[in-house]
Amino acid sequence: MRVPVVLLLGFWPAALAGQIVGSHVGEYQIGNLPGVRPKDRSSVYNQLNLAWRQGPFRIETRMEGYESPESSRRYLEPTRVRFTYAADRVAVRLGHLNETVGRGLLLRTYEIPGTIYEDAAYRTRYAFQRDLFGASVGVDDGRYGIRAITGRPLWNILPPGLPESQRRPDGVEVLTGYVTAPFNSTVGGAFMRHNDARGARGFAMGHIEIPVSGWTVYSEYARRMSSGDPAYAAYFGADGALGPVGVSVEFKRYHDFRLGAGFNDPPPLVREQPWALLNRSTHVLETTDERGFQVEAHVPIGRSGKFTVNRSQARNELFRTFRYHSTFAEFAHRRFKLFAEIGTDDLLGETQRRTFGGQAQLPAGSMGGLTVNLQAQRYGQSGGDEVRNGYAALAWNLAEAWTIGSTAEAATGGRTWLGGTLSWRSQASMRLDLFAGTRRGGPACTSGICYEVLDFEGAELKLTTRF
Amino acid sequence: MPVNHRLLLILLLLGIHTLATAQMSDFRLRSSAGPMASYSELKGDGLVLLDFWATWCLPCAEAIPGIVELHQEFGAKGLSVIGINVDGPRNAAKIRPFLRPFGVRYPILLDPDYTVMTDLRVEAMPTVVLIDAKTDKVLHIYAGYQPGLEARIKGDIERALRVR
Repeated sequence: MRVPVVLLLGFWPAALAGQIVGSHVGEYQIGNLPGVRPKDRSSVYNQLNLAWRQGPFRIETRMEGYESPESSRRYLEPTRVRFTYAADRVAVRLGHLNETVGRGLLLRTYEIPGTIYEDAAYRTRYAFQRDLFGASVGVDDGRYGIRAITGRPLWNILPPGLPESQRRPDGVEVLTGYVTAPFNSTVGGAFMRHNDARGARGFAMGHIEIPVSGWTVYSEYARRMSSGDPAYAAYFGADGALGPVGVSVEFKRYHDFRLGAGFNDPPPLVREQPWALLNRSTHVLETTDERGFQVEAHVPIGRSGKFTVNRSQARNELFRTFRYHSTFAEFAHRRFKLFAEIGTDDLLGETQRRTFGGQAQLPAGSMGGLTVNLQAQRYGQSGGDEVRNGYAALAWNLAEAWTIGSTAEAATGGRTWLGGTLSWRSQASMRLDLFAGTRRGGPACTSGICYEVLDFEGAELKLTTRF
Repeated sequence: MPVNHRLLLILLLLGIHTLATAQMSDFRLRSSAGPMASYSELKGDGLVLLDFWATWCLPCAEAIPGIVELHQEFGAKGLSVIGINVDGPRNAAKIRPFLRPFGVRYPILLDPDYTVMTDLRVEAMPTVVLIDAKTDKVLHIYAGYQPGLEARIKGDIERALRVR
């Protein structure tokens, strides 16, 4: 109790000269993984974020805590302290940082706001993020920029409470910069030194961006600087328009490029799916060896309609060849959407996958509106078995503040998941979510980051406050 | 009462007590068109509508046509609209093609490291923020998309313009 009180009191005098903002997430769960005892395991997760800002200065802190019946899984500790000075051209950051170099071939740290992570091994809940504890100093005036970064990225599958030396096994030092060249093109690059228990290694990266007739062409290449087996990552992307149609074309070639405990995040060139069943079937990039491409087009249909088509394809040369391909089409109107996908992913063990579904919104005047979402999926597994998945969600938004919903899922083998939700919100300052029932877990991808969600059976109350 | 339960109670009270303190601070991000741009350069002197969105977000695509209409209707009356895209590097090549069919005419700033998003404690996608550009006071925050959101925002813009 002492630490948060000191934290709050410490901020009070500062408020006189600046502004304090913050947020809090508290989540109470009673329940467990389906079929696991005790069925009434209860736990509480709390996260408090406080930030003070005054002109170019900012200090951000985060406290996280978890209470569960198992004492070894409990913790209450500060998990973020960040100081930022950001003036017109200069930025200095110290503490727990989010830094991305280029398109993430060498380094990407991130946070998925609002996501609480738990895995089956540790059964501890914590914010899902991969920060870098260190320092960053940069100058950027729009025509040129240079930035130096040093720090230790978080290995985010290890929860708070474990020693920092285990949670941050890698050290990185990066010097990166860019300059605007003729024809509004930009040229840049980076040098990175990575060290861990196996020693130190150097990496070099170069990138170029060229605008051509309304199109933007971007290319980035990174490699390990050593005379041994080549380790490299190459990315090429072009985006532009063909009349009213927006188009992007991307290529990738990655080989032996998982860095350290995974602190880099090259673009996977896989469509990030908002549809639940396809999101769970997202192809996960294998940077040991992967090559492929992605093409996507957005076509306007009438005044409020849009047709999207995407083709992604990849090949992995591991101990054998693995193939992935997906063809996706979606028609979206303001009030309804329809989609269909055909795909195969050898790494996931899904062949001849067929997925389709849609969503409709039915306005009900002053009574709010009803949203119906239906999806179905079928694919073959490596052993020859066929898997079928069904998904149905119903949500009734009532008078701005209330939402009542229900989600039902079914899968081959008679497995079913049924859950109900009740949400209340006051503007965006407070939100209360209640869930009861069973929830299906599995892979999930948010903001370009994929992680595993556990199944859950029980009740959950989540309170989010921002101030 | 366990430690965390007491902490939760304190924070709940603190949250209720300090709801009205939201104030927008300046930020500077790269725009989808290339150059850097700052909030203070783009905000004008009327009202500002910030729209946090991403290409992977289904409800964001539902909200954008309404934001475009609000920009068309109130742009000449002092409403500045700024789109804040929070896609990571993974979707960088898709941002402009995604917007093309919507006919977006307002600036799009890129926030791949969630700097502004974290600053405003945005956790739902989309989130739309209505700001008084003169005082930088946050007037309304609309978290998530529900049918009828455009009408609510329009009503709040009209009320705010009448007061000014």
